[in-house]
Amino acid sequence: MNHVGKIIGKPILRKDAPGKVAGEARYVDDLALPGMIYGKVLRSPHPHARVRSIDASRALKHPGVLAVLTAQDIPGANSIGAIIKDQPILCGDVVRFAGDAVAVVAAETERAAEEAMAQVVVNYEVLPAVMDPLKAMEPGAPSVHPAGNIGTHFKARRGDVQAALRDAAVVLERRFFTQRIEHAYMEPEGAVAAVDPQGGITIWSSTQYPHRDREEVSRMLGLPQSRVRVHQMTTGGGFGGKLTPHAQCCAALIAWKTGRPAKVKYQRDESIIASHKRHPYVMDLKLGATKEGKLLAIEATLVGDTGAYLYEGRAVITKSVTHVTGPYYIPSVKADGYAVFTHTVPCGAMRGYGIPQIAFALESLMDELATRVGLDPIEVRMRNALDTTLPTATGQVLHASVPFKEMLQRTKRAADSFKPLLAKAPKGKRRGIGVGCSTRSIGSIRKSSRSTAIVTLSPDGSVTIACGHVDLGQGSDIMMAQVAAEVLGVDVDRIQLLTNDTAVAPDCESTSASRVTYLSGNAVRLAAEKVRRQVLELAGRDLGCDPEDLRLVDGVVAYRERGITLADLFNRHVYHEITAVADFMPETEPLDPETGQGSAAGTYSFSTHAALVDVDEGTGQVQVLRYAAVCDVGRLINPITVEGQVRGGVMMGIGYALTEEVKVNGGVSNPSFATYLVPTSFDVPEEISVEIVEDPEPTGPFGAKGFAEGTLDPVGAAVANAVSAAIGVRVVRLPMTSERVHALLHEPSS
Amino acid sequence: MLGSLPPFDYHQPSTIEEAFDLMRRLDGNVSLYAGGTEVLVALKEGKLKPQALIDIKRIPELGGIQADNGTLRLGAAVSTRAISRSPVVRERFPLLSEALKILGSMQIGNRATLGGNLANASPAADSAPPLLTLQASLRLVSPKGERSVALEDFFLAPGKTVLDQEILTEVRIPSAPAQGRGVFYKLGPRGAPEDICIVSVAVFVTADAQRKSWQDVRIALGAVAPTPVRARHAEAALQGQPIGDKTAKEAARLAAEKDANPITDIRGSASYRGAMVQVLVERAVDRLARDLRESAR
Repeated sequence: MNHVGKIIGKPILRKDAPGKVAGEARYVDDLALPGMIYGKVLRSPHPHARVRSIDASRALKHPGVLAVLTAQDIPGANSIGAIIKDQPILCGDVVRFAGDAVAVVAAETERAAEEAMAQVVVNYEVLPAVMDPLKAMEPGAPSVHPAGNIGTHFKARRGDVQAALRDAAVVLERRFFTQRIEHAYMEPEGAVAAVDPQGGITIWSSTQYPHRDREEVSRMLGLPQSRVRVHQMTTGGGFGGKLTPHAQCCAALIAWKTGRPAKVKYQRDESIIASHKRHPYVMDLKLGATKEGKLLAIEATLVGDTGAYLYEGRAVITKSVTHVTGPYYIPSVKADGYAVFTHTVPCGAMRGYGIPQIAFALESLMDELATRVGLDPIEVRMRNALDTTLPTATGQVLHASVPFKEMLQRTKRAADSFKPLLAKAPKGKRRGIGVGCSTRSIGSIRKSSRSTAIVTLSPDGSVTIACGHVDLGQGSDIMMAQVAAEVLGVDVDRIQLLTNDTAVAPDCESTSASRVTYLSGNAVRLAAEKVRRQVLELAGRDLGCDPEDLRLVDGVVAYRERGITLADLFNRHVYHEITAVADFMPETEPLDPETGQGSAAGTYSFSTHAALVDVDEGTGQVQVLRYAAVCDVGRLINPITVEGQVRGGVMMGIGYALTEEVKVNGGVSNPSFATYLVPTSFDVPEEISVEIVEDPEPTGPFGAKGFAEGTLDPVGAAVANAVSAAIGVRVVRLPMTSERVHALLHEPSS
Repeated sequence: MLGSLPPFDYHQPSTIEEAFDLMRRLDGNVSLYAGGTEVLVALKEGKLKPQALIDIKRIPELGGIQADNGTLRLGAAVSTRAISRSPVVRERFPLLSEALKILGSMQIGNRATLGGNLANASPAADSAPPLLTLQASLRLVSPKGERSVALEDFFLAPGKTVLDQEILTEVRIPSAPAQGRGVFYKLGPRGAPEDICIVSVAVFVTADAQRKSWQDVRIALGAVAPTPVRARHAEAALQGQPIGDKTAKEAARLAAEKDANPITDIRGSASYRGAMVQVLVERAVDRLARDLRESAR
């Protein structure tokens, strides 16, 4: 191809950036329609209760109130959920966590809706609740759902683990704990809905997946999907949290029942109380190795607390089990993952999707193994590193783009550069270096993924791309524009993306699972190549030459010194524009339900990180001083966007490592940013170095693959290993708050 | 749960008499409003339901930073950041300047007022421990007159003060002993100034002429009792003692065991708080001893 590398790999500024900086971007809450009313969601204060009755008579008399809607008002299906639809939109009989929705109040103003909501009387019969996943697995525990509290049991089996552990020179065994965390996107959930005169409905939405919103609203209202249209507004972050469109359904229900446009937006505390979280895990790991540090076997039991609903829990636990060996080859594997119901806020998708938990546990044991066999932590990882010949936990051999060993070498250089600083720790501080590594399959884990793109070339050489993968701020729009620009020989400024409207963009699944570059980048590339081929064939006929000898640049097809404009070419052949559709679905092989073996994904991405930390001996406070992230992107499409993702992912991971924890005491007890503590600019290390390794993935667009979640996956592990090295005590629980680290410093036996 | 801002009347009196008149006419159904960093959140949370807000920022008595006769007068409605950056505060009371610098983010510091931080009566108020060690007093004005209350006597309980139909107009800091120096340590869950502290400690001391023993020892603690408190046992242990490591340790132990009375809450357990009082008091006294040694060279 003539233009490869002219646009791919260039640091082109994203089109949404200036508007966001200037405050001109329009979010859902900036939207007001004539006659618009407001909805507020009434939520259960009890973790588990039967709803005996709901009396809205007083609320309905409140000035400005138009409706109080309950389960009985839902015309279609009263259930919602990204993968498994097991959460009622409005609970009719039983509430299963403090925050479950029971009614939605619609009024002329937000204030009136809030005031009226306080006057709705719900008669609850409080039922016994189970709040801990291990207790929920015991016989006789209160049931969250009739079929029992184990929502999923997913297994991986390979080889004879018991025999391998028996013969192993070194066996390490530990229990690890991770916490529930919140996405903490800048923009809480929200939507506006309006019924159209033809009997359809339109939603304006803050969402990661407009087509999911469409599906859920159509199910709820009993409307054909084609009559539901969803516009994604500028979305202020998602991180997996905007995959279940509850606010959208509430807004749609109000609009449907009242005939008035309706807005529902969550306040920050409501978002923290009711939206799903990252699964907290209890993990029992047993690792066997030779005295040379070669891994022989892993035995793992992972219990993920999925809270009240399973909608993503089955896939999250599957992701953990299928990645239980991390970026290493371990011959024998026995892993059991359980997604367990409790009467707590549901857990679901969050950037990392089951990997940060298992990476923390496995990488901690890898460091212990290094100590036990007397090897450098990098060296023990090197001895077990996956390459293009060894299988993953699911038995898949990745035939290309496995740069893990090169990445380890680079991370060794980074860690070595930290070493001279170890001796310079100030008095009262203990300093440590830690590494953390991970890998992840790109795209869905339980089935394959497909993206579709429609590329249209206009006679003036400008290009329109319709592709339903929405940009949440991570920069996928500029990625798609660069891919199409590269193929079609145009400037990215002449490319228009249409991702955010279900009426024009094909369903490409959600913007999640680090999938957009690999899947939609490919779909866009393939569609653009079809368009290019058609144009060059037409021109070749006219110019009497082989299409292979032609170039398409800036709206002109050129052959040696001659050229023909697209306008002339289209006119001659009576084309008003040329459109092509293409889709991309990687080859995968479903996982065997008994052994977990199969080819889970088209490609994997690797991460190797190193951290330098100080621990205050007196207070236990941890400070990350330096951080080095080595990232595997296949091929770099836009360096500034990649670097931004890495820095954001690392900081999100530092929050996971050190301070973030959603606490549950009945309901969520810290639903504000004064008590739920995300890192601030004061917590950013002095240096976050970002190194990109390019080892092209043959099936990816120009060799690119996904990497976004990998920026966060091993951070908890790297920081925990650094803290453990600093204090000489193994950390087994996240987050490493000052108080917990203080306890480890003073009670080393605990 | 957070709601939208409820409706309220808004008044901005330009004299204190006008403010009192409003308070009387509205029969006490008012909240005084200055920076709004506490009041606006409480309104949204439904914890405050006043008929009216009385914005006291424009009342002249509540403004200004003045140094006269050795006493520093800080208007209650002056922003904490303005006080922190004021040259006279930085020169004469660096302890206060340093503490207010980390009272909150820059944005909060630009809004939050000193009077508000005190009148809100949080046990964790960052301005309280340094002002306690500086022996600040408060001017409380009512239509009937005015009184001066030592800061130590001002707090009654979390969220409760001696204010009784009065307006806190001024914080007065008496001239500090020459050669006095202080340290403020705030331990938050993160590195960020906007953290509400787990524990805070302010220590103010002077040394005798030979720089051999501690004099004028004043120690105050935040977030370890229902109100910010002076650590009298620790002070007594240090007073007149030779400047050296041992006494610091003993004073710190007493601060934790006798002076602090912490609770367990979302930011930390009682036992961790106690341990941190000990760590931070010892650290503060050691630091002051080191500073003294270094300045003697």
